Amino acid sequence: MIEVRGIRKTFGTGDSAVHAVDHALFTVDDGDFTLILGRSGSGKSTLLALIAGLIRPTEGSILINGTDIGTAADTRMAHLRARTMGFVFQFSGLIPTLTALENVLVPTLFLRDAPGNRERAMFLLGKVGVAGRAHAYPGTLSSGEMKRVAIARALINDPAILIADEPTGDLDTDTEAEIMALFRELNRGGITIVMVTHNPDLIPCATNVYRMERGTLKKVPAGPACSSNPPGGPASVNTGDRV
Amino acid sequence: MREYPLSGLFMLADRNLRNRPARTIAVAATFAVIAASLFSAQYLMSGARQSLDNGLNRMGADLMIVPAEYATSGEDALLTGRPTTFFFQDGGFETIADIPGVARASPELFIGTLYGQACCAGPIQLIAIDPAHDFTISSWLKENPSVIMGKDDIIVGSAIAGDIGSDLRFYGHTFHIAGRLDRTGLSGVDMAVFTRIEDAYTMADESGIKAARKLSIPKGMVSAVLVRVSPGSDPQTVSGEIMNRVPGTKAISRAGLSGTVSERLKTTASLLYGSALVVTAVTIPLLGCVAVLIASERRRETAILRGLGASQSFVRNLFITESVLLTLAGACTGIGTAALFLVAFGDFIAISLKIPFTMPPAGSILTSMGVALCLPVISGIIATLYPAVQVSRADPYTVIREAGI
Amino acid sequence: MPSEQPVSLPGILLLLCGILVILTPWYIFPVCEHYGNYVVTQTGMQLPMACGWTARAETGLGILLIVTGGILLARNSEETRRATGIFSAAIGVLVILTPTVLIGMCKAADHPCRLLTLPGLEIIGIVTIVIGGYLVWKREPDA
Repeated sequence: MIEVRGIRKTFGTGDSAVHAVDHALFTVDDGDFTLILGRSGSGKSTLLALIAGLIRPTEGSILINGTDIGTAADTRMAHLRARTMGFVFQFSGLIPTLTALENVLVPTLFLRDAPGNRERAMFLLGKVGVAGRAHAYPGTLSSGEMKRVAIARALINDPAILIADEPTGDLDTDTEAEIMALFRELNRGGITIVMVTHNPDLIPCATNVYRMERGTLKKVPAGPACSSNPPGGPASVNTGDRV
Repeated sequence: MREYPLSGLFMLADRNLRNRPARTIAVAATFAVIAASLFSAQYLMSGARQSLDNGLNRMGADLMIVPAEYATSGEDALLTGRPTTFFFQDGGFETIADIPGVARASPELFIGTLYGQACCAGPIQLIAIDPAHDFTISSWLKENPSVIMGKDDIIVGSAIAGDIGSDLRFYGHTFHIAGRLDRTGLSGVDMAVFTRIEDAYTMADESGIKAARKLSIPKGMVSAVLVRVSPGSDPQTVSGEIMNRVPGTKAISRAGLSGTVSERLKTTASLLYGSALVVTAVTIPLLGCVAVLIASERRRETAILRGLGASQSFVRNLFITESVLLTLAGACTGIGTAALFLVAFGDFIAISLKIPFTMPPAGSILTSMGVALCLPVISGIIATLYPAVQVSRADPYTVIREAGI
Repeated sequence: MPSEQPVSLPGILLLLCGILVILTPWYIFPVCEHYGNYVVTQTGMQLPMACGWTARAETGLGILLIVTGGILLARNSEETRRATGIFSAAIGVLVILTPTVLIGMCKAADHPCRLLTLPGLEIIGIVTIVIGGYLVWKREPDA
């Protein structure tokens, strides 16, 4: 469970201080699919970074499964990120000197008892539909393929929480639909998802929807549950089993 | 306790180094030069010391008394094996033997031959001993009881060609090789041929008829007196007393020989140590700048790693591990290459520098390697430490935003 | 189908080693007959000494190495690398054994053939063995 208790993040001081996040307050229960919508510069990526523990709040607290990540030591926080969270960056964020398979295995390097291994990595690459590109370097992958590898990487340590920052931001419509189908399948399998997106078409699929405007978070109605088919066509990714 | 396995650190570090082969090779080559210079200097100095000890222990003497005007020739004869012929009044031998502090004294004749034992070989050093007083060859004969040194029998140094049982001719006189000494690295022993004084006189007498040039050994004269000092006596004090009582003599001591060897090695050793230190002094700040550039170049990558769960210590240790791997690889290459050339060309180096030389003991070699490894590795860590700490403390979120990850 | 590459670095190195093996005993660190030293028989005939015969044998080995390097440069496939690797390692062993065991050098320790030619050939022999071993171990040419 994620509890965001009145956090504020301020950049700069005095007259030039900017409240990127201003007293955000919400809860994400286990198994929720939480969407955060908003324009560019609204503070939604900052909020995501706060939840992931990449930055510390100026005020307030964030509890993840009872741990206050705002005051946790760097080592504890890093361990939490590696074990409990999977992070999908906005632009995939693959390491160019490693193959797709090696990129998927990177989060296992940070844990002595990592649940992920080579077999699981190949399984995940198969699940996201890029098993045949396992030994390719990121420079030879398409945007969609890189994003799929990034998702597989986020899942390698069997995280309880998946945090995604505009995962379909630079993808074409068809690929976007496939990726979103994958996320919905993961959520149906029990993974808690917190996603930042600009795409309002995904609102029906979410448990909770928030809109961020100038650092302030407001809840909006989630709408009826979406069908198993994404807007624009059926899913083409085989995600039958829990990954 | 470290929360992450080391294997991951090494894998990432190895991959990063392979990604920039030109830079990796250039930096490794610099540390190879440092390590090679350090190792070579230490190897040469220990080898020279070891050889001197081996040779002088073989001779069993603490002092070698020679005519003062031939002191340099005498030293050269010992250190480089350059053949020489000189004599001083035999009467000095009895006087020397009676001086307090002298446990044993052994007269020797130094005779340079005309030719070597085979075609195109230069002259070699013949050393004639008095079996009644000798403690050099006698001690070796005791260790090798199967060898008998009879009439016209010679004991050769390790560098003299010829099988045991074969003959060598000097000044027309035929000698039989009865035994061969072990290698000491001291040319004065390794390139010498030991015979008895009476056989040397016979050779000299016959040389007028049999040799290309007559050899004259004045009766009653010796070239040198080897002295073994009594336990508890100071060789310096005894040598002073000898030079006092037998004017016109000079004592060549172990300390004096060490000093001569050190002097001859000084230029080479200074060059090697100096270049190692200068290169190190230049490399550390240079490598520091390179490390800062690398850290800046990899900010995006480190932000990704931090976002995926790498702690600050992992990122810091990643950079340091890369530095250690790089410097170790360079240092090992440098030491290996230097060792190969030093072992292969050791004899040539010794002759060129006019120093005694033999391979140092294993412990000394390992110590030299250790020192030659440590300096580059420590230098690399020092150069990398600040950028590594800086990049590990960088705010990953800011980098992620700026880089558009 | 075996992968091929236009230029093989080990092939170039073998070629260089072959040239060095030939040049070392005649020009770089010449053997005793370069200085006018020969064995003279009782009839007055001049014959090369042991180091001279070694130099001649090394010339032959050097030619073999050059041919081996040339083959690898001409066809850098997996099979060729394996074969040339084994062959060049064997030649490297012979380069070392020839002046030490098979023919030898002058016995005098201060002869240039012993001080310089012999260690020079030993080092080239070791390098050749290492290249040969590398070719056998890494049969796949670098991408």
